[in-house]
Amino acid sequence: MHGTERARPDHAYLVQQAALGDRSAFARLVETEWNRLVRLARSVVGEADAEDAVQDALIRAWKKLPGLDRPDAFPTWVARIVARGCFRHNRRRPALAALADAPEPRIVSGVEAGLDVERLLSLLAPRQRAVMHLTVIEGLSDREIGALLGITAGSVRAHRRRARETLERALGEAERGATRATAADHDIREEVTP
Amino acid sequence: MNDPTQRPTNGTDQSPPETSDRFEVAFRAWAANAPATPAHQAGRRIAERLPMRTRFPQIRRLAVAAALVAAIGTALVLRWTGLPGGDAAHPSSDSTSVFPTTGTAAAPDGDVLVIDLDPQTPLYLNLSGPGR
Repeated sequence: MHGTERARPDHAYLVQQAALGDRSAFARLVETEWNRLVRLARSVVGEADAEDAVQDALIRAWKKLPGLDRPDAFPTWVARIVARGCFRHNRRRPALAALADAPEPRIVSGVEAGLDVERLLSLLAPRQRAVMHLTVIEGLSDREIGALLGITAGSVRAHRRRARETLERALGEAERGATRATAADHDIREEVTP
Repeated sequence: MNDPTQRPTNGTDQSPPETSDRFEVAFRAWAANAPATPAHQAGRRIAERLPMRTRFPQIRRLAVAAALVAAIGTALVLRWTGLPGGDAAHPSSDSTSVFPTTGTAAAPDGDVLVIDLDPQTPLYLNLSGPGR
């Protein structure tokens, strides 16, 4: 699978060893997947809770590992466990959803192309965030995303379309707000200038 | 893992390009930030937290527990209803039970088995089958 099922010669061996109870083999698997999984979790539950969500999911994965039939499917399998864990985490503690009560997305300066990404993601449903992450960051196909999230490719497209509509609206409002603020600032300056 | 700063070539659909592009560029830059905990440290930390994996998976543990509960329940029911297996009254007393809990069995001629359900009720079983 593009992006997730990378062929690593020692990967299957590590999965087999970990399935037999080898903790150090599992630790090495965690090392190989950690950054990718935290990035996925960060998109779904936010920066503050991402690492905790991934740790909990990895412990769940450890318990379920003996039931994994295909060691080469480990990256997709563990990403699925993390994604589900993040959805559960959101239901228990809607950290990002709570941000929806915050002021509208602001345009900020910085390396992130002037957008408050986490705030924008908070406007999306958890599954929409996951779909956007797997599309934009991991570059997976609709079928691969569907397999990972347990939904159809059509649902993936629908989630992405709705997510983009929401982002479009939010960015439009933010830009109009920024334009109004600039105009008001300009008016004030003109009044002050003799 | 793909490089989050690189634009993927699939999985995109029709939407206003300027918004998607702006968001996706910002999204990739945001996602490219490394996790606060380095991977090797996370691996070590999680390995320390891993629980012991039992030899029996949970479903088997549940099955064994269910079997134990069923066995205990059966024993209690037998005890309360006076059926064999419990300490209930013997069938040869006032009980109406016909189970040969303490009856004797004998095979006088080798082909017929006699089971004394109680002192007044022998049960003859012909072991040679029909025709004799």
